[in-house]
Amino acid sequence: MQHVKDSLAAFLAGEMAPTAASAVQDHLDECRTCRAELEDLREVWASLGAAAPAAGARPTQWPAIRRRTFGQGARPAAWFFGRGALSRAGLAGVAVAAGLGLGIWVPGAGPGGGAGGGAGSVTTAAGTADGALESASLDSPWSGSTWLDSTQKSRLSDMWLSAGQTDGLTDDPIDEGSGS
Amino acid sequence: MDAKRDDDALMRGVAQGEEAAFRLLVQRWEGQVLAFAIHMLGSREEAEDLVQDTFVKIFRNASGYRATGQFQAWLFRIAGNLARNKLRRRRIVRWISFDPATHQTADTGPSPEEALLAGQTVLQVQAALSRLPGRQRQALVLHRYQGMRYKEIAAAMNTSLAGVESLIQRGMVALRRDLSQDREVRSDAARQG
Repeated sequence: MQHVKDSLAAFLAGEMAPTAASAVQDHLDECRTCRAELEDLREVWASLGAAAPAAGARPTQWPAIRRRTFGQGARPAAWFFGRGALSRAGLAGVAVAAGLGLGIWVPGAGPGGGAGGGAGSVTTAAGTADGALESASLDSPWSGSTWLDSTQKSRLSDMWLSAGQTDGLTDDPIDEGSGS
Repeated sequence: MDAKRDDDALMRGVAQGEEAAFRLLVQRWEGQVLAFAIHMLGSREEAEDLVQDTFVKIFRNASGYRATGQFQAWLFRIAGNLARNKLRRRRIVRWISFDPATHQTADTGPSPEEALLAGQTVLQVQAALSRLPGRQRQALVLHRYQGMRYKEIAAAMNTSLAGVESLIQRGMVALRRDLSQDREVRSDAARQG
């Protein structure tokens, strides 16, 4: 007769259909191995019960949850999020179209220049000692703004990586261990 | 009267921005989510964060909730996904820092020896649970501690009834193996000591 070990947890939990449970019971009456297995699982079940947390007093999380939902500044703008999906998609489309239109209309918009590329051309600071920054010339519409070149980006990524290691997000001792 | 509103009715209120409905929902379920999260994560602090994250997510997705009487399944699906994400991120089991003081057993008035033994059992079981694969642990915790039936767990974990049966069966067998190994190690140590 085939053992019923794979069904014992469901049997123990009373999760089997009556006919299936009856067949398992018949087998158990005759099979010492499966009876022993059932007893072991019963013990595990009891151990799990012993480790259940007491339903004692505990602080509610409501104040923190409230702050993050109904608190000031936590709720999304009703004029947008209060609408249906179609309306939101329409508004988003209008916003994107307006942004694109503005980009075409404003002379020299964008790093590299648009229609008025001459006036908005970018002066790089490649000659500086560390070459870390590129900056826009004063007559550019982007004057005052800065962005990072590849050197700076790699420094920034190093910082992120080291920050990740300190908070444990990227600290994986298993992976590190396998390499050594 | 509010206390009698079922979860679906409360969710309709939440979708309309009713704070009282949301508060009632949180109060009704946060204890169960917290217990679930403690068993999944092994840390009270992280479990409390998870409770908050779960309800914030529920609040933000309230308008997409379909009232089919499956709120519990939806709630634990969100909590379970968040817990497994946290486990994936950290991969470091923190059960060592498990604090029995914040996780008392239901026993009342045990002797010091009994308390020590009970504490050890709790730690052993929690450590063994923490070593289970995430989905096996989730299914077992929902079944044993939340009292959910296989059908409800299947809905909460987005899997089949047979899938749940298999997860729980494998989880129980793995726990038994783990606990018996632990016991052998301890009795060997006791003999040598």
